[in-house]
Amino acid sequence: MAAGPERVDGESGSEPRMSASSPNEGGRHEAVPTWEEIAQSHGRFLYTVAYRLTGNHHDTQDLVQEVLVRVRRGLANYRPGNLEGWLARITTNTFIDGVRKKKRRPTEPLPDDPDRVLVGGPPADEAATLERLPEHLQVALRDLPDDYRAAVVLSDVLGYSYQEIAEILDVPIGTVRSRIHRGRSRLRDVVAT
Amino acid sequence: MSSGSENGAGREAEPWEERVRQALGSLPEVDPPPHYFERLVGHQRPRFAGHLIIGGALAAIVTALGVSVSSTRSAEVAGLLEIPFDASAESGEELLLVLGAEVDGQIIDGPGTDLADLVPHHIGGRARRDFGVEAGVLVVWYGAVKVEIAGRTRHPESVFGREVRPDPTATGDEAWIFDRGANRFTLWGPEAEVEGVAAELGRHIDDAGSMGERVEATVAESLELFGFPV
Repeated sequence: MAAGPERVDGESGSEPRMSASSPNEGGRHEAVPTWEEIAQSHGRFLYTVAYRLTGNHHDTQDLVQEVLVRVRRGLANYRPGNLEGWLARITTNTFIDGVRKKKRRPTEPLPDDPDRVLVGGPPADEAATLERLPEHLQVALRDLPDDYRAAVVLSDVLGYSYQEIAEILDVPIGTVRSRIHRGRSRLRDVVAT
Repeated sequence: MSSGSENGAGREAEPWEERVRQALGSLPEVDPPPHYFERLVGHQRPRFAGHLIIGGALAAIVTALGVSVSSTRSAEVAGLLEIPFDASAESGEELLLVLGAEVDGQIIDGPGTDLADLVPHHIGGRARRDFGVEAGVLVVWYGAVKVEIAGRTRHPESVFGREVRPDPTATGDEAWIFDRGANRFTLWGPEAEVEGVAAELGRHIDDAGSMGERVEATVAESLELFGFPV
């Protein structure tokens, strides 16, 4: 699987566990939706997948925007089928591409200047979401290494098989097993509490 | 796709693994901010009274080239010391953010940059902290220095919601544009200004021997993406 921003994910994925209604499910509609329609009808799904991968709303919104650009480019080759599987695949690949890019281009964060910080704590929308979520689990998921998190999200949030994850991530299935096992191990104590 | 406790792992999951898997699988969906997708597809584009924001150190480049891109605030922009974000800016005024730079493969988003003369550090930090903007990835060359044109704007309200309020009475063809391709930056403003300024900036960057054509292509793609005539 080639990496890079120009890759177009035109392959349909398998049915993810997390589900929202799709205009293409069951072959009821054969027309290819527009990217605007996808944003409207599957936005929450996209947003959730992106949030599980990134762990914060800011990066989620960046990722969703990037995904929609790829969706728009990829629609020319998209054949109606499992739309959410296709979207999940694009989202994950875009996330992985971003991780790789960050590794190539490390950033140096600024120290906070207390005089310039206007708002403390997480953004209100993020705080509200965390209140509704099992916060400890989401935080632990966010703290996983990117490779582990992607594998765990694909497996345990979206319900893909190890073989499918290996194809999406372009790594051997043994690597998938290892990442998922190690990722789950790091979440073990959180779930047990 | 397989399901159940094995899930293709080639063995039965241990009880603790199954608990983790079930816990993750039961996490609820996440709500985006209100109207996020409506705004994204342009049904509720923010309406700004003629403001144009050019994300990134492009401002520094333009300034270094001696090009005035702001009719009334070029002094402040040229100084790159303070950007007076407020709601009173009149139509046609431009607000510029300088967000970061890249030198030798290292993105520098703040203090300590050797580009201090070109990219004053506090602007990037201020933009990031106060306006939710971080360094983007559009890179142009200025001499031997690679400079980021940023624009990783989180969402409009994070930029405008605190110190700048969009004019609710604004009318016209405001454009909200982003590009999330190989280049990325963000422009807000009336469509004609966005196009015109983008072309203008592209020419200036060309004059500096860099990537103006790429900038213009990116803008055109963004405009098309959001339904504006190109």
